[in-house]
Amino acid sequence: MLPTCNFFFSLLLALVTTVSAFAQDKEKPADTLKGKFLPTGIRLGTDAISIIKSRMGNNFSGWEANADVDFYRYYATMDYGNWSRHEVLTNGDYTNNGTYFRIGVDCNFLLKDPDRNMFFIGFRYGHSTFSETVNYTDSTSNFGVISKSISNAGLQGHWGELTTGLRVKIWPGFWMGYTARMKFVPGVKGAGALAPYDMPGYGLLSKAPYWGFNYQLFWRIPFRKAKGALRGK
Amino acid sequence: MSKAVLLIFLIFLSSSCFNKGDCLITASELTRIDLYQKTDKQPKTILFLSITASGYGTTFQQDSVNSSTLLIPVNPNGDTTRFTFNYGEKSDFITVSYSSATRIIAPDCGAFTYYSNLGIVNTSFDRSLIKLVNTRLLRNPANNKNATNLQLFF
Repeated sequence: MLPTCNFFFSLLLALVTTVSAFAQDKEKPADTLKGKFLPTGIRLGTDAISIIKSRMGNNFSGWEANADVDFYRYYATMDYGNWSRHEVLTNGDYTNNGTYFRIGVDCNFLLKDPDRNMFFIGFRYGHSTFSETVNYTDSTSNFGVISKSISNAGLQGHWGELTTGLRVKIWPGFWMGYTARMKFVPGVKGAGALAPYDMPGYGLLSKAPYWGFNYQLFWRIPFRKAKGALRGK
Repeated sequence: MSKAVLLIFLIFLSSSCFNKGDCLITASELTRIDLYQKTDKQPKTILFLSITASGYGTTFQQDSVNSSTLLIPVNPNGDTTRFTFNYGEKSDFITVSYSSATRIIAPDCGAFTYYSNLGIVNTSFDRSLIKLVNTRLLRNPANNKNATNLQLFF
């Protein structure tokens, strides 16, 4: 008998608590986030490191364009780039060429900064389409030196990223900052007799996790004025 | 939220060690065959008058091999190779198939051909006396010894 009483008492208590909770909900003030999730502008940018590397070295050529749109403290981001690498090997040479994109979300931890400076942590999904060729001499002990040329065409690759970085307002409408990337779980489809070596947007496939670093320049095009005191135009 | 930030920061920190790849090359075009007595499974030394491996435009040949371990190359330009063993007054063969893949270790190390999926296509030996123990042709760079691919019982 006692356990049955306990059960009904518990049920009654739960019912009363739930009803009172609903009653409290009705008394809550209006949602202060209403309208804040509407984007206020788009930031367009580029990676300075890719441009400098392309100019300075002779084994890398590439560029990267970046965009992000704010949704309150969250930023939807997209990157698109091109990457071509030429490596001289001890017994030949390797070249690749391809394009890549990344999409993801950043979470801004400096929400109340009036200049829209950002310290963020986010994640990305990366996708790459590329081709690669290696020419090399294979020194065999019995068949002598054999020249080989092996290619992979139309490879499709993907990976994930954890990102963190800063954006600092330099002039009105102009931000600079960096993005550090920890890239992980790379995968490539369509490989033939050449084990994929370097994936545009990711890097060396033999290394996971792999690190990436961008120093970016951003220009912001505002859509509308933000709710609150933000003045980053 | 601050705990999540700390956790992500620690993940970044713990995986930030940069290590330059060492040139540990395990690629080999040699098939290692170990010879055993079928009665007591002990290593057996056999005098081969010659061992040949069919190749592209050339034929590997070893004369008068007296050993319990054989290292015979596969044809790097093909996907099958026939090993022919002449011993005593007999001549036997094993035809093996395999696939090859090029792997770039690092620019300072170079590119190498790795052979895998080794299989026995045809043989004049009693098939039950050949055991395929490793389908990849690999060399241990520490002691320069190849991994055993086939065990042959006489």
